[in-house]
Amino acid sequence: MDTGIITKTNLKAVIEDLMQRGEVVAPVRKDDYVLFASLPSAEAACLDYANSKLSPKGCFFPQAEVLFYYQKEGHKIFEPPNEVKPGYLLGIRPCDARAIALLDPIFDEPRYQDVYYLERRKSKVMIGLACTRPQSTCFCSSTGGSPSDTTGLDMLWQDLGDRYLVRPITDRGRELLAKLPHVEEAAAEDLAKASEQEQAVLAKLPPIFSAEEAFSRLSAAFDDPLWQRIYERCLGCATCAFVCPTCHCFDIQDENRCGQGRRVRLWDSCQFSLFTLHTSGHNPRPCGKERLRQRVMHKFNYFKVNNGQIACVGCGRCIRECPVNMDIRQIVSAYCLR
Amino acid sequence: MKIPKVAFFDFTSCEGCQVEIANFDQDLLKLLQVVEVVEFREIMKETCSEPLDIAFIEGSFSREKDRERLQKIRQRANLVVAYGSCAATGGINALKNHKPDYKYKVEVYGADATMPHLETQKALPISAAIPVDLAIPGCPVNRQEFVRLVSDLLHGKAPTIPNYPVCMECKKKENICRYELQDTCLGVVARAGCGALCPSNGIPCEACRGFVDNPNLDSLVELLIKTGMQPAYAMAKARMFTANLVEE
Repeated sequence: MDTGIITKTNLKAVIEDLMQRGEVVAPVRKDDYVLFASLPSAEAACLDYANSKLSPKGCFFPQAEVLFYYQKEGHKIFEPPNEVKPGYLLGIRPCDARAIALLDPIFDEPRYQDVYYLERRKSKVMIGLACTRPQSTCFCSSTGGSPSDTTGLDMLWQDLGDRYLVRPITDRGRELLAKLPHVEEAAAEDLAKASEQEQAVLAKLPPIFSAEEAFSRLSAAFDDPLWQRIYERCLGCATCAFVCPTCHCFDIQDENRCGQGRRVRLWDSCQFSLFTLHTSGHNPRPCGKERLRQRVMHKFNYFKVNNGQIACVGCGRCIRECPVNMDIRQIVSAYCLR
Repeated sequence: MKIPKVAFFDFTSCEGCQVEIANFDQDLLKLLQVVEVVEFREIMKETCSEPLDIAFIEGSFSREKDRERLQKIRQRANLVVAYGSCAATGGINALKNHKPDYKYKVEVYGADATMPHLETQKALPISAAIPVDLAIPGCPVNRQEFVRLVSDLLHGKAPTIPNYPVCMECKKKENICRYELQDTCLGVVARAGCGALCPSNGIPCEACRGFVDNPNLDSLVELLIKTGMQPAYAMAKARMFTANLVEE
């Protein structure tokens, strides 16, 4: 079967089947927002959502992670208990899946393979959910993505109203499709409807700039006086970095007590003055202007130099959550329009 | 190892930080196993004039005649720790620094307002009078942080105080932003370390731990004005615990 159909009446049974096979991490409603969490029951899955408050990167790269425990006496090191459970990441949006694909070469490169990230990453089959209702802050089409982008996914579901179109992308996805219960072969009209819907959603997301354009314009923008004006509003709170699906900087700290302790890895951000503070007291990014510039330049310029692609996926979280309404689209556009 | 001698001193303050530490229950007893407290007005009557390993100083420096007492503490202490926002930045006392016609003394003390011990100057951090090795912010100090920092000092590790905003700790707890609830909050530029205690319990951050390094205060005041505050009120709000950090 190339493409399958799961009717919504069978959704509960399908998710229950997945839960039998392994841990299912999916969007779950909490208060008035949605977060990714390990499903306690099939009913808890919230597949009718715009996007999660925090990006699902935390499933593979947690906010705080114990790397190991140690004891000074006898120079002993203990591995933390392994909490990684094989299973499925269900309902991830294409922008966020693309973001995880961008993180892969950071944590898995010839010089260094990050076992903590890779073990989590390999443990989950990625089941995406195509976007059918983009938000006003969405701009994936400007960063090289699309509402039905399959990058980073093993399988993509698309909501067709009373049913999901199920498209396997990788061998892992095809294997899963063969195992899933209640899957029917997709009919020609399902495929036609899916394609029509895809075009309609894409039409709601006209590109504001292209990734290429943003890259080349920012290449000459380092000394531009415009940064000073853009920065005037920024509080440096780093909420943007915290909710960003591709921000991946971390700090490592030893929590030492009486000759024993643990080494912890924690999310960090280039928006903090401590991030670049040298032991000498010198800080190459002394002010918010340099720190804001770093974040934008890393996303749209430096990352492409290092990894071949820009590191913004257009999820719009930083725009939605910024307390002073900074808009990364406007910042990049300002340089594109110069 | 010789058990280090420590003493607690207070200057212009409510002594709430001392109370906070005295109320430490079990953890205070554990702390007492590794340090010898030789002076602590809130919990003991003994005093000490011997050399000290650590002097903990609470309160701000607001009377010139306190300088001599501070210098004497500095001379006999190996380390001086200014703890609590009053000692670290001048704290809430420094609000009076922005009042040219400071007449509350008469309102509060009436006929006694002219007593010599009430003669005060601007409220300044302890570091304005003597060199300070470590300043621990907080109104009051956070007990857990206090123990962690004392432990760092005893272990010879450089103590670290967060230099990122309360926003980080709030996001970590997945709290709904106060601004999304049509409220105000100083957590966007306030120094973290409290675990976002106030926003997590439904009230805005007042920045009692001061601000992060080089905060964007113009933008903060603009943001507060946007939530409906009058400009003068927004300015006053921004400097409640941080009067020495916010210019006129």
